[in-house]
Amino acid sequence: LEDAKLVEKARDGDAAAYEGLVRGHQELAFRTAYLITGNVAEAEDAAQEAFVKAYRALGRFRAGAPFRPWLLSIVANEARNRRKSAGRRASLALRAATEGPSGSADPSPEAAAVASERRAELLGALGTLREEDRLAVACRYFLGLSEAETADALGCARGTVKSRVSRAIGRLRERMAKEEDAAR
Amino acid sequence: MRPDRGPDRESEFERELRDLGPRIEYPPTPDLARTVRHRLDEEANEETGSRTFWSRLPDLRWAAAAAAFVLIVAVPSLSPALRATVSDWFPAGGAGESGQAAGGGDPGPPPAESGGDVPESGGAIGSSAEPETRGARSLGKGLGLGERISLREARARASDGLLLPGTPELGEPDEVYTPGPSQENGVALVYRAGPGLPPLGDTNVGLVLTELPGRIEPAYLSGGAPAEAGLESVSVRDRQGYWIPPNHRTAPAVERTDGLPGSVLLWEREGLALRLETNLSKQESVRIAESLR
Repeated sequence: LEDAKLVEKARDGDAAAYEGLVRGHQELAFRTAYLITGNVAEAEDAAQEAFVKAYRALGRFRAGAPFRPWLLSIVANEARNRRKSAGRRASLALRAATEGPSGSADPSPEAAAVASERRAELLGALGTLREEDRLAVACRYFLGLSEAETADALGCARGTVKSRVSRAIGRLRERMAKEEDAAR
Repeated sequence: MRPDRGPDRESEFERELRDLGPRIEYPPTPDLARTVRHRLDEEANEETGSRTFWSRLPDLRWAAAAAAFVLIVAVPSLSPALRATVSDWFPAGGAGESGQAAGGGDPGPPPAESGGDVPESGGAIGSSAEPETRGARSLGKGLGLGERISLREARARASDGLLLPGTPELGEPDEVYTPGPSQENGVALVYRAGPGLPPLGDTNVGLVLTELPGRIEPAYLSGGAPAEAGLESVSVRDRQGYWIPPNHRTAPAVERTDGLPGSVLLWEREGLALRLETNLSKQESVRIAESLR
């Protein structure tokens, strides 16, 4: 069932429908929380609490509106609050798989090794960015959120998302260029 | 000379980042669907248990209704001495509440939080009398402002501080609402109409101040930049604001509170997009806006 129907049923008290809704969004919710908190346990707690709060607030959810951005804003807020109470900066140590997703194939072992190294460098460079820029990039490119969804998740305007992403890409470009120059 | 690393290079980065997305190794996603379902089922069972208890006691409910009747209708008609005695029997709840409602000046408590409709200890009187009392006193009900919360809760939500009018005639709001659970949903402060504060439309509301994190566009404006559309510029503490009279119909569309056909003042301060809706003059509205602290 599509989100709108599940939301409608859940609003009428159908817990199974809400369970279906959670199942459909739990991965994105958890990963969003993880990108913000940088901690598995906190991400799980934040996402769980966000789903419970969203259920209680379903009565105020505007019928026909997309569920995902609304949910993500609750998840992100919950995650930010948890990180804030933990009083630390999220250290996001992301790793990329050496093998590509199923269906993709690198042309040769050598090319695969180069690509893998490049990805690791890119992730390393990403780790040096300001947190707000890194999160904007992660939401847009890793989670595949739209600009509007990213804005909702990060609690800022769309224009801010655009400028953060643009600034982040500029810095990544500079950093990667430096590494390329150093390697020559 | 370094090769051009302009737009092409940027899009290459974007492509690389997109390709990287599916390869990121996230921790495994926990089965939140099951955990959340379990929590909600438990809550529902607790609630049903409480409701069942009360539904099994119809006589007690009638007694509660009768007690509420005595407190609200019969007690005020008694002699002062008798009234004092009856009040001693029921020290809390209904009689005091209705007295406040008649006075109209007290903002009163916010409605119960979610789940607060389950009768509490000694709550039989309150649970019968409260909806009517609340309905009569609720200013912002039906204006699409969201859930009513306490001023204290609103203050706790606003990590960067809640701004309140500093003019002596306003002070603390009569009611506070929020459209959603997140801090980003902002708050709306509602003031009762009174001397010097004319009502908005057919309501008893005299002023609504909405505070949302972010910019006034897109928070309250859509369909065009305010400067280009000829909105009247005003200065609020040397910062640019916009004054929109009640009959404003041109783009950009200005978001107003449902059912409040007043004038609107928009401005920004300390990372907040602020909207003041009143039936006051521009000068009066700006004076209130500048008094926020």
